[in-house]
Amino acid sequence: MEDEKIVALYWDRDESAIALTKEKYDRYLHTIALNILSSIEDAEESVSDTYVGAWNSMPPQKPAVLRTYLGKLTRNNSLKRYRYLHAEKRFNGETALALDELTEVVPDSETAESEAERQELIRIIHAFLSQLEGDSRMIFLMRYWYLYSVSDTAKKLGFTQSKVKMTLKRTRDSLRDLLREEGWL
Amino acid sequence: MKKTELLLDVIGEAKDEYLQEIDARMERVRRRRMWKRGLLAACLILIFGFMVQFVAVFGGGFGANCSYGPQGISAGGYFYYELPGDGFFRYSIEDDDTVSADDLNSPSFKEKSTRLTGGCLIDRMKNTWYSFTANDYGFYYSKGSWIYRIRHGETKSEKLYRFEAKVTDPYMYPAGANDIAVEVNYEGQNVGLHNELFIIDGITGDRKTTIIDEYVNQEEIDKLRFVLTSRDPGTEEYDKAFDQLYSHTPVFAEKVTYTVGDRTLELILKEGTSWFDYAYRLTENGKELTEFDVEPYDVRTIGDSLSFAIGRDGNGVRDYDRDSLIVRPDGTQNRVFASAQCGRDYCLNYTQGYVVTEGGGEQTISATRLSDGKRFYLKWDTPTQWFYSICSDGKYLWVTFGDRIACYRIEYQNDIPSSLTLLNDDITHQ
Repeated sequence: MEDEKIVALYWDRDESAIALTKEKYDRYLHTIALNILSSIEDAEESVSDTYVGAWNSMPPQKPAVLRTYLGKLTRNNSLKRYRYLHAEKRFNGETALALDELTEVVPDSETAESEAERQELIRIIHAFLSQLEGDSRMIFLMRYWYLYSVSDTAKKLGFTQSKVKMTLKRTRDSLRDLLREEGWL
Repeated sequence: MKKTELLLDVIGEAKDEYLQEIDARMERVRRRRMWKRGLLAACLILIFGFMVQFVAVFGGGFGANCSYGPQGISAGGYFYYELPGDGFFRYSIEDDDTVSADDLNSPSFKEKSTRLTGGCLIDRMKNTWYSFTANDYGFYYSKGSWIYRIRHGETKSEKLYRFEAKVTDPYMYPAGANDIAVEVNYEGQNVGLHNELFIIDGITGDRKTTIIDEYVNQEEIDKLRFVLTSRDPGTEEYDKAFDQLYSHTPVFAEKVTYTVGDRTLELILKEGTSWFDYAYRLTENGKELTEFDVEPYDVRTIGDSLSFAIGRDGNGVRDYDRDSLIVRPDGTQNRVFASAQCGRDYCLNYTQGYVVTEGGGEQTISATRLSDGKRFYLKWDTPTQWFYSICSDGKYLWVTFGDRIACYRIEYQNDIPSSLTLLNDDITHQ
């Protein structure tokens, strides 16, 4: 079924919307959750939370692209769950690796609490992504949006692992410089 | 919340378009692999003679169901493009000054595309190519264990270079003079990870230089994984295995030679101890051409020049910079932000300046002047849809949409690119 019709079902409070969403996007959402959580049970919980979130948020939300809207819900749920499960202890998974890598961009010791800081960072990230070349942007988002490993990123995008690693390194450096220029660091 | 966690969170706010761009790319790569499997299935079906089922597998025609977009490259006055699952084609615009836009849009002109591969049933069954590129000498594509070449103006494929082992997803680009750079992943028994970047001579097919070679056998990877699962995080043994598993160090070439016009340039390796911890200096006749280090990746021909990616952070030697150093055949070089889509004097970008309008959004095309880095925005003569890539030789612009390629003429005012005139909204019509 087309996404617009599924969204309309949510707006009509028709519970078949969830079943149809599950039928169409369950695998995609599980991939995102599993990349972040590295646990089938936790991923299952996170995807379930996504369906609840979708039901509660539509209406008022009317996403233009349902797939990415659900993907973002899953990503947020999974990261929240990740933080809850792995607070204060090191964890061997792609999220831990990605966070390690991002310490090259921002120091791990610093914290940011205010909404203003978050909004400013969102603005900078949007500007940063719009300026990246297509390949670099895809590689960056595969690693830090989808939390795919370097080898999976290379395989799925058809690049060599060396190229992916080097592009990530360069892109992280570029982001760090931009954050410094913008005074966020 | 830690800033690293906030950063990871906020990356989640990326625009839908970027995620769709990734979806399209993954689909394209996946379908290439599917096509290989489809070929195997087709062979089996042929063996058993079930031609009816064969048609069903391919939806009534070879590649007829392929939804991912076409791609192209321009060189030697031609535009080469691939219709995925169908074949390679060559398109030429002859004598643009005398051909009107109406002529170009006429059915007869649209027949100017020449099929290069996949012309007959057997060829189309065998079209398992992965990558293509072009230079002044001809058009190159990889298929199976070979890289093939078709000279400009000709239609016959010649075998040029044979890969040393089974490969996946080769990636090729022109790298000065008639050289072709090839990035490739190898497959094989006990190969955990093996990838290479090397240069072949585009005329003779001789392999010239291996720039990067990264190899780790599966046994070693398994050992490291065992350590990670059997030791506690934070122990020295665990940390060492963790670093080894995720930070392989490739072998880098000590020296790589490139040619642009009559100039001979050399990349000289500086010290490096890890996969990201290396640096190359660009020299000519023993003298350094730039104070910045350059990347060994993506040294490529743009227009009649060579482009080097500036800057890396190895040993904290230089700050990162995403500019390119353009080395020109006339003896000059300068540093600009340049894409691969270049004519002699300008290169074109499209990711810059995405403009949101009431109707949704419009991507803009900008031209960067190679001599001084100044950027000029070009006006479309007609509204466009979201597109995925562009290709240009400085005279024409080919724009790849989801299922078609449009051709625009770049209009100049006082030698500055100013606007785009649509000549053909879909050159892939056959």
